[in-house]
Amino acid sequence: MNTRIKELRAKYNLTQEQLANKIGVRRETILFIESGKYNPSLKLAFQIAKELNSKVDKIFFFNEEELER
Amino acid sequence: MNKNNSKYNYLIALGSSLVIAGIFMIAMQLIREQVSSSILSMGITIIIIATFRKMRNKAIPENDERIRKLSMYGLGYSWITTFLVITIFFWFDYFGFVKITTQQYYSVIFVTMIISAIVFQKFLYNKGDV
Repeated sequence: MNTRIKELRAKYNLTQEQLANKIGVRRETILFIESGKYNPSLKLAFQIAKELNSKVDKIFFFNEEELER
Repeated sequence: MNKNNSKYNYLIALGSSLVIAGIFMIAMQLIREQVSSSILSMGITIIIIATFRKMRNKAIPENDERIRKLSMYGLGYSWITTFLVITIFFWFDYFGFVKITTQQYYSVIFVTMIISAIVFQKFLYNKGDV
C-alpha cells in the first residue's frame, strides 16, 4: 500500500506525533501506515483523511498486484 | 483522573485484596496452601500488570487499533506456546523422563504465559502488522 500521508503532513506542517495525537493513536502507528507496513481500518483511514482535509482514495493507493493477492 | 486510570486503580485495589486474602489464608491455614498461594500469585500479577499499564498509559493512547490488534495476536501466540510447552512437559512426565509436581506445572504456566506474551507483543509491535 502506498500513501500520501507524508506529503500532506508536510503541506499542513504536521509532525507524525501531532497527527497521531489528533487522531488518538501512537506515533508508531502513523509511521507504519506511512511506510505501507500497516493497513489501517476504514475508520482510521477516514479519520486520517479528515485531519488532512482530503479523501481516503486520494491518500491511500493499492497497485493492481496487491489487490489481486 | 481519566477513565483508564480509574480502571487501573480498581485493578490495583483488587490485586491488593487478593494478596491480603492470600496471606491471611496462608497464615490461618483456612484452605490448602496451593490454593492460597495461587490467590497470592494472582494478586501480585494483577498489581504488577495494572501498575505497569497505568504508568505506560500516561503517554500512550489506549484506543490505538494497531496496538489492540497486535496485543490480541501476541496473546494468541502466547496461549499456543504455553499449550505446547505444557503438552511437552506432560508427555515427558508421562514417559518418566522428568518428574514434575503440580506446583512446578503452575510455575511453568505462569512464567511461559507472561514471558511469551511480552516477547510476542514486542516482536509484533516492531513488525508493524500481522
